[in-house]
Amino acid sequence: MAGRRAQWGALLLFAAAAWLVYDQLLAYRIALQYQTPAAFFLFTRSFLLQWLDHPGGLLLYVGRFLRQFFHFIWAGALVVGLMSTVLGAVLVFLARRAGNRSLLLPLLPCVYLLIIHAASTTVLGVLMAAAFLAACMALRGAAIRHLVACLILPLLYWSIGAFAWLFVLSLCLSEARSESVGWRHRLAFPLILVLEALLLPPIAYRWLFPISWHTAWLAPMRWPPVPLDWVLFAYLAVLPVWGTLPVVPLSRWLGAPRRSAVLQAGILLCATAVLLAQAYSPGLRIVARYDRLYHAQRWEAILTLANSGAGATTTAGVEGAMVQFFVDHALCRTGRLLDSMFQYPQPWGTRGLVLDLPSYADDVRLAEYTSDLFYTLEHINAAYRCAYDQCVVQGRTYANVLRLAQCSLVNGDDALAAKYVTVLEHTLFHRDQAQRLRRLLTDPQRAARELSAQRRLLPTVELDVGLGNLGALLALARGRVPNRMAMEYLIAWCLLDKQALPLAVDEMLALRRVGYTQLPVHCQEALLLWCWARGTSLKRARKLCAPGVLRSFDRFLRQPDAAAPSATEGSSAGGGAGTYMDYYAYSMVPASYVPAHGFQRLADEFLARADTVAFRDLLVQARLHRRSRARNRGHPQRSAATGSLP
Amino acid sequence: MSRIWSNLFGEPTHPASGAGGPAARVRLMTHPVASRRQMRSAVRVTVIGLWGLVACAGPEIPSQVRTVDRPPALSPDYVDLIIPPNIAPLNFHIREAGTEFVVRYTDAHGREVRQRCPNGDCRMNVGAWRRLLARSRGGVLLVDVYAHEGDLGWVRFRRITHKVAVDSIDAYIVYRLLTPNRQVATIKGVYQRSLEGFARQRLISERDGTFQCFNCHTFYRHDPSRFFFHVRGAHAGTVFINHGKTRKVDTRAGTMYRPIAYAAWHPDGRHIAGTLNEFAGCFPATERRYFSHTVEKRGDLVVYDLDANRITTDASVFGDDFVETHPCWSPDGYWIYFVRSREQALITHCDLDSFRADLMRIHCDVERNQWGPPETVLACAAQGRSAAFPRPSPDGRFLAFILSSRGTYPITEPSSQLCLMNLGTGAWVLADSANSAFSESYPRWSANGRWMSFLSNRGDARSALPYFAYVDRCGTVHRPFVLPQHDPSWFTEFTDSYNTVELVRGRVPLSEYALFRAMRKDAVPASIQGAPQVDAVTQATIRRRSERRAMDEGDRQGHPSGNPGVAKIRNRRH
Repeated sequence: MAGRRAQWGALLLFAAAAWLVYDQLLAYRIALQYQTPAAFFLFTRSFLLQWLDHPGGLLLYVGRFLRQFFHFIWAGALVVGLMSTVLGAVLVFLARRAGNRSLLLPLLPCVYLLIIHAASTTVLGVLMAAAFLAACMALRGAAIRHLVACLILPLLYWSIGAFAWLFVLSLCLSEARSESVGWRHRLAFPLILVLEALLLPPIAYRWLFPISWHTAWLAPMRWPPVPLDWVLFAYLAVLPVWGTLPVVPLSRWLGAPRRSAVLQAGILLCATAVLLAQAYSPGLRIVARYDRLYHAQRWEAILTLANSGAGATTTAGVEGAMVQFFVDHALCRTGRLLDSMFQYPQPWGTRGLVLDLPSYADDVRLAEYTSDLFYTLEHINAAYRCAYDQCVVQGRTYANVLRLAQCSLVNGDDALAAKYVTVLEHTLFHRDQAQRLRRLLTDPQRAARELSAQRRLLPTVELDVGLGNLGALLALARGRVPNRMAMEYLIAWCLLDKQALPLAVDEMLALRRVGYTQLPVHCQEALLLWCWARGTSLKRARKLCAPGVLRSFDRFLRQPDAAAPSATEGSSAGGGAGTYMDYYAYSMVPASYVPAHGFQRLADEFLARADTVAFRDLLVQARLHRRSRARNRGHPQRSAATGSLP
Repeated sequence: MSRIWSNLFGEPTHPASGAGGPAARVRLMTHPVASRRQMRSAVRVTVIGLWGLVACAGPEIPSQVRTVDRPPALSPDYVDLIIPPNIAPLNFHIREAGTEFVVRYTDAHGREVRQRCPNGDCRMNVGAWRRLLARSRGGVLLVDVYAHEGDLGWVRFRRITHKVAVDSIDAYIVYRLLTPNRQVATIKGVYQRSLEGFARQRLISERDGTFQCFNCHTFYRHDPSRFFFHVRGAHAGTVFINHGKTRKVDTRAGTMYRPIAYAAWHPDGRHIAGTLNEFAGCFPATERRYFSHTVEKRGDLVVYDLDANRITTDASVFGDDFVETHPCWSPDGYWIYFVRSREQALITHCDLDSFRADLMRIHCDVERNQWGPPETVLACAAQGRSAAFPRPSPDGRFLAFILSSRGTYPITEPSSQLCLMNLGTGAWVLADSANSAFSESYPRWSANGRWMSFLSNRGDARSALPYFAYVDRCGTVHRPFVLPQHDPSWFTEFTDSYNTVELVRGRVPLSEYALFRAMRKDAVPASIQGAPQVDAVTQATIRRRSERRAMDEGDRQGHPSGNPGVAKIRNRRH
């Protein structure tokens, strides 16, 4: 009795620790996972039905139901902690039946699943398989147990898919080593169960579900599993027969009353520490911090965080691009983009300014931010496109459904907006947003009033949204109504691209139209650089520049070509010494992505509009782009575009 | 049901089992144990029957009502329609203020069915609905909607009068479901749906990425057991189904730069007219909606002989001067109707707007492989309009087609409208009662020629849904109705799009797995005859220069041997 109480106490302690870890240290995982389709859940019949036409669909459905609580970090941590604890309780029960009273053996896999898999389908699948196994093993009478196992196996396969194999394996092992029944029973039952298990996927594939052969056997398991997952599955399969295995002396040694508590706790803590070190991602944590501030629209806080050096080490991966995006956006919101953007790392060039990553999967995953940006810039169709593509390729998320509703509303497509609002109304935590939009739908005058500013700024220049981010920014910047943010983003894009310097210089002329009384710092630097590179007189350009800019430009000119300005490590990865010249000459950034013939098509569009300046600039860019593509053939997506001064 | 009945009254399940018939029933009834059982069953049946009667009687119609002289706002707008006698229940949602709703259906014989509609959702029992329609065939079906508006009491809206046609509509539709307007379309599958009920079955699906794209399922004379469809990407080919037998052909053979896309069966069931198409388009920035503005930048017409596995064509319809697309045969198999636009360079988005197609036809003797000159049926490009999707009625009297202001891809074009041409007189009219301010496309006739289906995105300007309209003997298209759904709230959440809706007489008798296996077969390459050489890189017709010279020569001389179609168009323009 005392042992059982101790076990319960340990499990509660485990739950509390799990909650604490996910509420604090690993909270970023909950926050980031909530933005994915895996957390999207609707309380509708049609949503349920779409999960029932393949094995394991129910498991995915339950997973989504639980993950919707990730809306709040504390609730998400609670879900993760509870799932692991319930799994721990089931495994403790199974271990006790196998004659093992140690807490370590059942809790070790729980710790692994908790830290590595959080609230993934794997944890749920293992939990369900273990729960069914425990329920089955709790039945008295071998015949009933065998009958029930055979009967529930198809149901189990339909609900949890390939995780049912864990149930089959464990039960077969358990029954094969059971001493309560005769050898014929011991042999016959596993054979029948395995045979049934082998028949289920072909039947599902042939008659029941529209699935591939691979899915029939393995869904919804992640394939191929990491090696540690293999170990886990093998471990879990033999857990119910642990007491009868030759490793039992180890188990007894661990379970000895004197040394058990301290030793087991020590081993568990060590395992936890090792796994945490393995799973913890400082880059993602920083991204989550930025993301929280971004969604709260705390732009100064983002810049403060950036000034503190957070994210400076994560420049290479996708995290670096995201940090660059957050910082650039915060700079733009505070009106400092063209004055101080190169004081912060710009490791991804144009691809970090407007997230456009080389990997299509990452691009779609992060389309929400691009959609946000274009929605803020008032290019509603581009915002819609990002959200819609993400919705189609990856699945619905709360953010993309909301964006689709907002875009439809701004476009005046009320019927379509109403559909997306209806979808949001069926969620648990986004009904208030839906109600807000519904009020606009039911009150057209209010909608006209609230959306008039956005509608006024919609693009008036027709450029194909499919031509990429440059086309979208050009369409906005060339609109009838001045759009300051769009203009800043366009010039920033051109500056970051390096090859688009002529276009940037030409666009600078329009800065006065959006309220600038003098050229921003980076534009002054770009202008000087451009004039110097063309060999034209710097006199006129110098008149437009501040003394500080002139000093830093002169300093740049005095430097030897080969050496970096301040020999900082960051400069080679886009982190500058604060001037555009340094960025241009020394930083290595990925080449901008523009669809095939994109520059040429943009140039043609401007030619048709008789805008010869833009046509000339874009034509130059098209030529340079073709040349750099030819030069970097084989690595067109990730080629480093170093500025080469003419 | 018969089994339950027979169990209740002691009749054998199968009449041929030897124990059936009145004598057997008497024998059973006289047995004391059996009679007790029968008594119990009879009581049970009586109770169920009485309960059924009470339930069927429905809610009471309030005696004191206020009348409103307008029809109720319904979603979908099922008001004053002509409906087929075999259509599924027209379930709807009442979009009126009220706490309680009652609907009364009255058939042509004055019999009523009353129904309470919780939350305004009116879902009719399929059996009761069928009986109503059967009794109203050729007459009218009246629908009265009552709403209880709290303290204001009951309100009755103006009576809805549906005319129930004598002519039935085909029992099934086969359609493709996809997400609309994405750069890379995601196809959810090809489904068949009963029009007499709500049963839906998936015929083709991507099977977890096994297939990427499948399209243009085309049935031979509405026969569900004889059709073909294309598979693109992995396992590419055209799959032919003929009464359970399957065959897969690679129609991208020889100089064919693309496989056949749009296609239509010849009445002989052996030949298929098809076009090879290439698309181009853009996503406009300034339009107040997100959509793909698409045109067919390349298209050529061919005829495929199913038995000989051979593709034939003619230089007048295969070349890079014109874009031919949307072919279909006249019911006598003498003409191929298609649309044709002049091929031009696509440089800016404005160039997309200048793609406009004329309605054409060409005589093709499939037995002798003889092609006549292309003839212009309707020269609409010169008038700033573009034709698409011609489809003659089964009796050959009318030609349904789509007319829009630009492009050959009316699915996303709001200006596209359904038109009907009298092939006898050549006069054509806009089907005003069927058209809306949004896109109408893909018209199809029912087997008896009295019903027409088409796609329209009038619901939300994006999701295309199938609509059905009655076409009377004079060629008037009546007010259409949308495909009924069991749950009326379905319309408020559906964001995908119906595509390629084909009317078929019955259920496709193949399982999804059988089609899956057919799709995975290796495709047999088809041979090609008479097609001009096409450059492998540029895909330009190599004979182009000589062809053009000949055509220009003919054009100058006004001689039909060159290309009379061009001459005709140019003459009309002048």
